This record gives sequence, structure tokens and C-alpha cells, in this order.
Amino acid sequence: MAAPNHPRNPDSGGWPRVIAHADMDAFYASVEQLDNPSLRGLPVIVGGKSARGVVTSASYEARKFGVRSAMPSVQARKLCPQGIFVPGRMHRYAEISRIVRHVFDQFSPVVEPLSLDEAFLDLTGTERVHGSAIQAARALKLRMKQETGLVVSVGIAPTRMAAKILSDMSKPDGLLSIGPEYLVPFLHALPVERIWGVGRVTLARLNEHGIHTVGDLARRDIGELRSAFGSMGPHLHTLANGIDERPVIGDWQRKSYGEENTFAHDLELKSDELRRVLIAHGEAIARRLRKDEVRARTVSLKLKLARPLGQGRYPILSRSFTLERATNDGAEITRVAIGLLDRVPAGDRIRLAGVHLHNLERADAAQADLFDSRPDDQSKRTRLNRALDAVTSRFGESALTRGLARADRIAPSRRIK
Amino acid sequence: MGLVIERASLQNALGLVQGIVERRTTVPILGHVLIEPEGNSLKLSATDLEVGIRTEVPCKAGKDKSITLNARKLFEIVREAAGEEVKLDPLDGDWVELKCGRAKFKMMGLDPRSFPAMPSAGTAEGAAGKKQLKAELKIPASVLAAMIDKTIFAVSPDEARYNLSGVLLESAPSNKVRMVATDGHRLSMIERDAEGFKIDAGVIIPRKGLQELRKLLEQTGDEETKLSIDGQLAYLKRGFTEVSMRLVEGEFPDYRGVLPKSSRHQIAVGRDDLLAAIKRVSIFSNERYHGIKFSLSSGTLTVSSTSPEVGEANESLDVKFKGEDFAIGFNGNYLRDALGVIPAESEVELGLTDDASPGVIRTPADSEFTYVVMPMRL
Repeated sequence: MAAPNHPRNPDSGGWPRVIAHADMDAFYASVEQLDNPSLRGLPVIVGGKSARGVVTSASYEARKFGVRSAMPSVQARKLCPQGIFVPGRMHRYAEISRIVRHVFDQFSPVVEPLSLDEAFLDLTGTERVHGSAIQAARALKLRMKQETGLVVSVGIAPTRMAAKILSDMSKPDGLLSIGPEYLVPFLHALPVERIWGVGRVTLARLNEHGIHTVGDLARRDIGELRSAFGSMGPHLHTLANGIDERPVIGDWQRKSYGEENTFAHDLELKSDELRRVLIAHGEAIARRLRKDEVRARTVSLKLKLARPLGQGRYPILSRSFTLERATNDGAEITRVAIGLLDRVPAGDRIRLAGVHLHNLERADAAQADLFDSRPDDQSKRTRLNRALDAVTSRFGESALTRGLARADRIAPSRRIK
Repeated sequence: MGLVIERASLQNALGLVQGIVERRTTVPILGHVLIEPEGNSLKLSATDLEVGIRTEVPCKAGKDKSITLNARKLFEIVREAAGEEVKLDPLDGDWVELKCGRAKFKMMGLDPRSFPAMPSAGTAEGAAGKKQLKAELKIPASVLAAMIDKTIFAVSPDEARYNLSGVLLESAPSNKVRMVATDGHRLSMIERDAEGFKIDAGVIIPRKGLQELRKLLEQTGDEETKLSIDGQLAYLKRGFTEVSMRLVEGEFPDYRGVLPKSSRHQIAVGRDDLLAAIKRVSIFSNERYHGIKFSLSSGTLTVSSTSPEVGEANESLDVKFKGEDFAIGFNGNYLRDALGVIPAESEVELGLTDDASPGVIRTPADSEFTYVVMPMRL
């Protein structure tokens, strides 16, 4: 089977694209061991100890006992009775994550973070700066150790999926790379659940069809897969054949920014609490937009109503408004988001609220405005935001919030890409 | 007995109203044309509530009954019709039978009494306390058409920027009329002689109304026309056709403050050469921002663009430039728009100061035209 048909990049050793997936080893648990030397070398389990708690991260010492993330804490305790349970400290992980991101940024201009502790890096064409991809990855691992004291594993491949599989296989403290000529044979030998999009349910159905390895999948007829699995069939077939055209998407190229969270208790539509949440979301998104030097024109409000539809599903409403001009100002985003509440029919309590921004523009490519003052001494708001950003970058995101937002009342929100 | 109308004149009249009827209206009647027989003529009216048009076509008398019909469908029928005449026969209810050649259509109309009133002096109640402006602009049709052409392209396409959604019309010193349009990034301004025109404050004429006006001015003849401003309305009658529109309420921005009084560099360059160079170099400019770069060095203006995906392009023009080298970025489309309304084979004067100050385009071929464009950081 031929490698996917890409134009060859002459600077990248004949690779169409060089994609690295960098993933911190046992990130949360490692941060705990970093901050508390007495935990080093011990089985550390980050997660809630309660009956319903879930493991969010386990040190390699704990993994030897079979503890895995997303496992119920009860089960982890059974497997590893001597395990030391520590509650998570999200703000600390977020803090370290910024340094991690900073290290990634030194190796590629196009970094797509997937979460606090992993990212894709497009290394295509970086050879003149960092040498071959393997040299770059070695330097990255070293720099990470120096700057954070933590270990990162790296997978390098011509496609995103293969890079992620490799970083995972290489752990702990690993580095694996595969060239385009070996990509397809490598994939074909893997169990089929390694393919993105194959979860438990799909796996069972694939197995029913006698498909156990990626190779089994790749050799099937597309038409047959389509009739058995719908539109997902051909998609899986493409991935199985090593074709994964999705590029690494840098921050400014992404489509939207969002923050949302589910409340500990359902909120009234017209409550101050809900407004506080929206303010916190608006400010958080604005900060991220400014950091990435982008602006957005469309603000959408997403609400999950506290009216169960059964099977753990709830109705989701969303309302959007497109501004005349793109913004990265928290007050403006918040004003629009709160205004959108008026367009939501009253009656239901709210289970989840999110704010998302779309229609991104690069802030620095902005066309100057006739009726603005000169760009370099812009409005008070710009100066205020600059000051806000300076404070939060030094003292953390909880150092400054809007009066109404009272950060302590708001559960940590989930960043949405 | 039905109404008999000459097909060509009906088609022409229906063509005039097409721009006004709403394509995707939620109010069906706004997609209709009102047809009222009056003696030996038919009065046709269409409106979107902001802009209205009324016109007349001669007809052989028939029943004195008003009807409404879907304007678009009726236009298509008349356009495709064979024969010299179209016959309209109002039936019971609001049904109408239409015959042309051997084709026969039966169309459902709407109750003509539900047809909305045209924007007219009687229906537009001015905001209380607001000064009721009244003025008449008497100007040859071709001159008014040219003024519209030289400004309308700069009107903001963004409907949310209400006060920029039309062209400012005001009187200027020494018996002139001035029109100004801007979308916040660039501004186009034109003046022409208009003996006796005087208005106390500027009014904003909506883009759609101007477009309809422009179509009306295109019809043959170049006599003097009269654009009237009356309270919240503007209207112009030509022949048997009258276009009326509600003025845009809102404050036009203080454009005088952004007109550069002078520029550090005045660069003379042939309009055709510059336009052609911009068109060529723009092939590689970003599809969203259309950024191109002007680099000036002794004796040369280089127009260039770069695209990370495609490559680089540049083209040099000989100009008289002395001074320190500098570069400035612009949206190439904004420059093309302006050069597009400057006469071919003329010269343009580019007024540039630095990479953050507005650029000015003028031409000796039309000293009453001024175009101001903000730079773009590249």
C-alpha cells in the first residue's frame, strides 16, 4: 500500500508533513511529586477518594499495580491499597501547563494543544532550525526536563493519529518516530481499537464482522463498510490506510474559543449566579483571545436545561449574536452573552452554561479604522485589558475578577476548543 | 373585459420594480406589485417599506379594479411572453387571468387593500422635535448618476452599522452638493455644482434607495432631474416613474475630522498602470484581508503581496519619490474600488504620510473627488 499522496517536502526528508505529538507523562501525579518531594518514588493517585471518585492521574509507581486514569477510585484502592490519594489542584496544573506550552512553542510555530498536558506540534520545515524531527524531539524532552522538571513523551509521524499512537506506545519517557514508508505496515499490525473513533461499541461491532486489526479494516471493501457502519465506515477505512489529512491547527487558526461548566446545583435563568458564571466565562475567553492575538465577532450562549430527556440527556439551547466588529474584550463578550439570556424562553432551570466565540480574526492583521484614534494609543479598554493580562499572568487567573464574578462561587470550567 | 397592455412597456416597468420587491420576505404582500388601472394607464407600485417605486404604463381601458400579483413571477411571464400584448383579467376573489399569445396563466393575487402605503410625505412621521429638512437638488441625471457611482461602493455592507448604511448628502460651499460614503475603513467623497441647493444639515440616503435611483437615472435622456428631501423622505421623479425612500436615521460620523489636511508624500502615477499592477499582485494576497504592500524608494513604487500558501508577487512602477524609504499596507480591494471610479488614462495623486496614517487618492481628472483609505498592518 502506497503512502498517502502528499506533496513531498524537500526539507523534511521526503515526509509530506512531520507531526509530533508531545504528551506529559502522568502529568497531574508528576506535578504532585514535583511539588512534594516526599511523594517521589511512591504510588501517587490524583483523584477523589469518595465512593464516586474517579482517578484523574496515576504515577508510574501506581500504574504498576494496574491503576489507570478514569478508573473509579474504589477500584484503584483495591488494586493498590498502599496508593497515596491526593486531591487535584487544577490551578497548579494550569500554571505548569503554561510553562509546558511555552516549551512547545519554542519548537514549532504551529502548536495545537489538546489539553493541559498534550499538544500536536507541526515540525514540517523546522529542520533548519532544530535539525531532524528526532533531534528536535530530543531537544524538546531535555528542555522540558530543565524548565519544568517533568518528563514528556513524544511520537513523530506523518499523520496526527500515528503520532499520538506512538507517543502513547513510547511511555514512559519515550520517543518514537515512524517514516512514511513504514506508516501503513505499522498501522496494519495494530489492534483496530487504536483507530480514532473506535470506542467500545464500534469495536464490538467491528469484531462481529471479523475485524480485529487495523489491517483487517484496511483490507475490507469500502462499500461493505459503508453498508455495515454508515458514513463512519469509509472514514475508518481511510484512517486505517494511513490517510489522515487533518493538519495541526495553531491557535489563531482554530475556529472557536469557549468555556462552559455544569453547575453543582441547577440555576435560575434570571439569577445573579448565572450572570456571574457568564461574566467569568466571558473574561476567561477574552483573556485567551488576547493571549493568542485574535478577536472574534460571534458570541454564542449555550445552555443545557435541567429537564432530563432520559438516558442522561438534556435539552441544549444555543443563541448567537454577531457583533459589528470583532472583539477580545471581556466586558463586551459578557454583555452580549447576558443579553442573549433574554432570547431564551423562561421556565427551565439551567444545568450547564457555556459561552463560545466564533468568526475569529487575527488581531494583528486588523485593518486600521478611520474613526478610531491611532492604533497605538487605543481606547481605555485596551489599556485596561493589558493591565488585567499583566496581573493575571503574574498572579494567576484567580487574582483579579470582575466584582460580580466572585471566582470562588464558580466551579472550574472546561475549556472548549 | 380585461386590461390590454403593450408587452415591452410592461416588461420595462416591471424590471424597474424588481429591485425593490423583497426576495425572501416573510410578508407575502411585499413580494407583490400593486396594479391600479386609472383611465388609460396602469399604475404599478412596489415597496419594501423603506424604498418605494411607482410607475405608469399605458393600457387600453378595462375593469376599474385594482389587483396585486407576485412581482417576480409576473416579470418572468412578461419577459418570456410571445406576442406584442399582455391581457390581464381580474377574476373573482383575488385571482387574475393573464394571457399572452396562446399562453394562459391563472395567478393568485392578494387583497389590494392590504398593500402597504408607499413611503411618502404623509406616512413618514419625523421624530418629534427633529428639524424637518426640506430641500431640492436640481441636477442633470448623468451628474447625479456619476456621484452615486463614485460613492455607493464605499457604503458599509454591515447592516449593523446603521449610520454607515447610506450615503451622506449635504450642501457644500460655493453652490455645491457633496456626497460622502464610508464603511469605517475608507471614505469616498464627491462634490458637484448644484446652483441653488441648500440644506441645513446632511441627510443619509439608504443604499438600496440609491441603487433604485441609479437604475432610474440610467433610462435614456439626460435632462435635469430633481431630488427632493422632505422630512424623513427623499424622492425623485423621472418621466412616469417616482422612487421614494425613507432616509437613514442616525448620525453620520464626523468625516471631516479624518480627512488628512496634507500628506508628507505626493506620488503621481498613471491610474491604469497602478490599477493593473494592483490587480496582478492581488492574485497572491490573502483572500480575506486582501492585503498588499506599497514600498517606496527613490524613484520607485513597488506593489507586492505574499502568501504563506502560494508565494510572493511584486511589480514596480516608476514614480517621482524622494525621501526616506518606507512601506505601507492596504486592502487591495479598497484601492481597486477607488481607481475603478477614476477615469481611465488619467493620472492619480497618492498622498501618503507613514505606515499608520491614512492614504489619500485624488486625480487631476476630477478635482472634486477625494478618497481616503486607512492602512493595514501586514
